[in-house]
Amino acid sequence: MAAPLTKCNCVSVCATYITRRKFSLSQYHSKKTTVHVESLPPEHVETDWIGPADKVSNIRQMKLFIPPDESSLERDYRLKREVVQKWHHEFWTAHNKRFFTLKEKYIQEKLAEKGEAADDINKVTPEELSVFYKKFLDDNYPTHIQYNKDWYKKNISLLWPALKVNFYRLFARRKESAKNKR
Amino acid sequence: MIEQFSLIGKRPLAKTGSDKTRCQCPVAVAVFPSISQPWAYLNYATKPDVVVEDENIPTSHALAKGKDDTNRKTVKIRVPKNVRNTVTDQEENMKKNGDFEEKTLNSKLTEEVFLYIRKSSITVDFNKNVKLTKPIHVRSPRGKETLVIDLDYEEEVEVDNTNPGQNIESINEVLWRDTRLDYKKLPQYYMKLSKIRLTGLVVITTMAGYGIAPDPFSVGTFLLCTVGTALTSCSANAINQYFEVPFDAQMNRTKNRVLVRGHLSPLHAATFAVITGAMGISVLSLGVNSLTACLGAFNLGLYTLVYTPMKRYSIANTWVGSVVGAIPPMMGWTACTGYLDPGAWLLAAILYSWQFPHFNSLSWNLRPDYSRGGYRMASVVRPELCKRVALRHSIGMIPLCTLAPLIDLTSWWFVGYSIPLNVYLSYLAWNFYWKGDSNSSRKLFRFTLVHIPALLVLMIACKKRNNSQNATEHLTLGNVNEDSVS
Repeated sequence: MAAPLTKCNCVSVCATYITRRKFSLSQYHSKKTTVHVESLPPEHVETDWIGPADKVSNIRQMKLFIPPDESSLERDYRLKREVVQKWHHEFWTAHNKRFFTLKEKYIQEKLAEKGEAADDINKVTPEELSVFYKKFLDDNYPTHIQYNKDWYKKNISLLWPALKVNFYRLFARRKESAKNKR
Repeated sequence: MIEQFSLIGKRPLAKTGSDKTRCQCPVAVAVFPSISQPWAYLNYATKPDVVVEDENIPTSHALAKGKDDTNRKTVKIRVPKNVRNTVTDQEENMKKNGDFEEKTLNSKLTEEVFLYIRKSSITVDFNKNVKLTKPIHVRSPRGKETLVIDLDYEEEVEVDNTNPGQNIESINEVLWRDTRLDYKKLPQYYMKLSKIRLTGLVVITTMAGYGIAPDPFSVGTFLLCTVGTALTSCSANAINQYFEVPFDAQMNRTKNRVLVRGHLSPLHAATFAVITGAMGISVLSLGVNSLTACLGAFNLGLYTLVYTPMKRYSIANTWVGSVVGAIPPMMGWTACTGYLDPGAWLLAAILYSWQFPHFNSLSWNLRPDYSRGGYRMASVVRPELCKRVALRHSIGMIPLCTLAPLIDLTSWWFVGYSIPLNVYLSYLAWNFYWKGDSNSSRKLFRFTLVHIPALLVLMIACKKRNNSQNATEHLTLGNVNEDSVS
């Protein structure tokens, strides 16, 4: 199933319906609906576009506009932004993967410890999970600190180029284009 | 038409060099041949035993305990028709390897086939693999009706709904968006950037501080104080959001912030913060008095430069944050009287104590988010301390409120009216301390939202009126005032 195409945006919605099974096994008597939504950026952009949050890293991807008369100032700024965005994405992908994997492992261990309870739904209580949360935070403390330091540095270092680029676009670029027109 | 199969039993596979992963679990295959893109579903009764080579981190699947399925019902199976038909004669490989018969789905599939494995977030796009010409080995051991599939895929991490990327709540979160600034929505963006609701509450505590202060009420100063505090608070919140972009993106609660969504650029937010901060402090220093301005500037610095980074370093950030919350009423008081009287300190102490039941109960339900986001909060790191502190400060409200008439701030009626509020708060904090579940924490949090406005209103209502008469009256009626003090 595909949603109708919008003007500049392409969204394809594939809904997969997993319906009731005909087995007599208890596991399969559940109805689940998962919707997978994908969205693509337009082919050509005239300004910067920002995309949806990545499924694992939650960082949004950016598609930055490259003007035909891009100056070195603008180019440096654009490349810096892309680098920072990529760095965020990589860090959080690895970090979140680690979190969910370890969480799942912890849950399985706890369930195994609890033994084969007759329930269909084996649950780990929030109190038990909180032990995991604490451990994860403590284990990843140096990573978090380092990331925080790096992020603050990067964030502040992006301000000055951003300011220069904005001033350039407001004033200098008009002069440049006026010059070129003559 | 659904053709369904069930596969029972498993057997360790012979290790082949090229295969990265192996699935050896009871599966069921369902095929939808009628749809244009045939889907073959593999349903797992247990999680597949998967071995992934790249990382040192053991996968959850690798550690999952397999359950014994001897009680499972056996059903006849056959290799799905459409899949079978697409295997060409040339490359059909019938290897007899012990108990196994091997068939290879090769790269010459005539139809697009997807293999989706339930309960494991694994989708194998045969078409992709087709391009890579990597065969997918499908084995059916003789004698047993099992189908074992060797896949070469990258295991997806199963993320839950605490991950905003997975928790899609509206189509706006999925679409690509132009980041061109929408000037019509600018006021809205600014309000969101300055966390207008929080700013509003801060301003209300400042106004209450002004109202409770004994000196005469001056409308001009009152308004300037309010405006100055509001601007300073906007600035503080904007800086906070500017620094917290990647962390806000990780939590559902904050995923829709302006900078996370890209409605405003970081430079824009930083400029807004600088301008409002400068304006706020100027208004306070020129329109009110320098003490208030100093307190405002101090609070701004405390919040942005100490509290915000500290959230990642130590749980002491909660205590710093409580001080940040306690300063605005002091600012209101100094705007009125110009001095930090004992009353100002008491008011600050009450707001400081209130922050603990308020924040600790709120943070109790956000533990998964805090853990994954790297926030060091007492609810995660030292849960017992978290609950104890909330209880301690809730009970502490009672002696604090009793101090109010003792320093001539309010009449004794205030104590009488505030005792039920404080006792109920203590009761909820007691519940929270003993039960420590999401229910009790939510109840405590909700009550704190009612408790502090009620307390402030009571304070103003029970304020010692004789002190609030204007200066001239005070001079001429000096004797009378002394007599009327009871």
